[in-house]
Amino acid sequence: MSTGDYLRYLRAVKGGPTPQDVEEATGVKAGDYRQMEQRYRAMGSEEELASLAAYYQVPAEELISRVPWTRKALSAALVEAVEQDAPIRLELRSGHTLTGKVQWSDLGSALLLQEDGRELVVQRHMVERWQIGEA
Amino acid sequence: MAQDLWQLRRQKRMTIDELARSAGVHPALIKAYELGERSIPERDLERLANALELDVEDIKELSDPPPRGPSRTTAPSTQEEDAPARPRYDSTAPRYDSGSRYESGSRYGSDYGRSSYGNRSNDAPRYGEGRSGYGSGGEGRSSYGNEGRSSYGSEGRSSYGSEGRSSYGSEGRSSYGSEGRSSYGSEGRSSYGSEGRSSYGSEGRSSYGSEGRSSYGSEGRSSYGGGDYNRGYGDRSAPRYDNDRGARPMRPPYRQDRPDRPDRTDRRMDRPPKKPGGLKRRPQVAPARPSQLEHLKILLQQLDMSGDDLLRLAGKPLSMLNRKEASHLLTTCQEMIAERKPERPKGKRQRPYLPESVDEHELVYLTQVQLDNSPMHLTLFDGSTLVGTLQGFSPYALTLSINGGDEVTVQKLAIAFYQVTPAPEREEAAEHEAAPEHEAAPAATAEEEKS
Repeated sequence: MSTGDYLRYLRAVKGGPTPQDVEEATGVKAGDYRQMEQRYRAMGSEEELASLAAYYQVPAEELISRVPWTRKALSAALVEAVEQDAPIRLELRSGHTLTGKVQWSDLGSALLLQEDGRELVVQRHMVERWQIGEA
Repeated sequence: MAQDLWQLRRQKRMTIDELARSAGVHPALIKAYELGERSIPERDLERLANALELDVEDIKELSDPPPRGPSRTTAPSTQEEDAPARPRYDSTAPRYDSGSRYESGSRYGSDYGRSSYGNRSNDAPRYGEGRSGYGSGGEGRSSYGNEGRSSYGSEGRSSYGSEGRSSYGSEGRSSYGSEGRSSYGSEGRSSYGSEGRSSYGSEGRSSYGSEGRSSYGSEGRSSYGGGDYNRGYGDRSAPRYDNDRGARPMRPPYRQDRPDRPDRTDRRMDRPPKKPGGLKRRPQVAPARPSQLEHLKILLQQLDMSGDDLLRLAGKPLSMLNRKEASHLLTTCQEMIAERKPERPKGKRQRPYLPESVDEHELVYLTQVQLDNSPMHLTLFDGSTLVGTLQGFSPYALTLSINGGDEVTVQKLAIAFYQVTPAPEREEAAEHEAAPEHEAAPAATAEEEKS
């Protein structure tokens, strides 16, 4: 789960304050929070993430550690896995670990063909970590 | 005791021009100082004092305006009787007061217009009566009620700041409001607003509104107080003294409603003197920017052009191009590249498909699942599962039919992953559904047997 996805999740858990509410409460520059949630690339400085973590009452490391694991990086990994015809190992936020060859991937999901021949559609927003070539 | 500037100037027998030249103060400013329209700033006060060879204390900082002749009650009335017929102004027409355009250029407009020369007195003639007001009508001889050469209470030659002949409407014949040569503090010919022939409301040829030849600063040559500064009244067109004027809206009095503005003359004089050196040099065109050269190199590579080709195209090597030439060459190269490229078919997507910008794979997949009516196993974010057949979907949610009846819509955000039961398994499951009745019976039988 990228930082943006995680922030969106935290906002939903908190009761759904608007991005403007969050910006006012945390001092994040107007418009930046929405970008942090929506953009595919890494957004937000450490200070901003720390203030957001305090607002959502989660460890700052929870947010900061996700910065390299962006949606864009996941896309790159999925494409690479397809190109290499290599299995990819996905660790999900739900605790599941899935492995398979990527058949396709798009905006919201990726289809994995597992070793047993079963197809599995993984929602991308649940993916926290990934590794290519791990069977 | 401090005296008015105009008094001191006359005592020194200087014209305004002369004083202006020697003091380095603009004549218009001096005029303003003399009329009391401006107080003299310290800097100018010093200059004027030096020019007049006086002490600063001798000059009043704010002068009273110079007197403008005897009371109007006496002068004009007698002359009206003798005056030849001449176009009359409608007495109902407004006087040349502040509504006239004189006011815009000088304070004379406001002074003379509104008030002076008899307009204040009740029995003073108006411009609409007889030949003129202002005690003119003296057929060139008099002014202001005087005969012959005198003017403005003076005799012949003297007066109001003039030298010898002229006077405040003087030189024998003219006057302030008379035939023509008079002037207001000038040397003979110049006049208060006109050159030579006209003057301020006079006989025959010119006048303040009469017969239209000239008037109060018309003909572009007049000078306000003589000399050469024509920008006073002279540059303005002659005023209109038609009778229709009464119907026009009157302008507000000159300068009364205007905010004070810094005098241009002051500003001009504050400027540093221009440097000698003549004309501005035309700047040379700068050499080409490095970025331009880089861009050119890239374009030339795209065009597969060699150095020789470039020389033919540009006429000189890249390093010798100036900015303008480089820009021109860039445009040429870009046009050449555009000509080489085939046109893209319209309507075709220009941008590449990126996984994060496409959502059609899942859409196709779900459509197929829905058509197959295959059961789906959803695993949610908390680990719980949901099984049902897909009834519908959107980019954000799936709707399942649970147990063939209840419909449940699940947000995709809550889903971790889902699995579709493959068709063979489904058949097996169907078989398995049918089998339990058969299998259950024997099992039950077996249990019964055991028991």
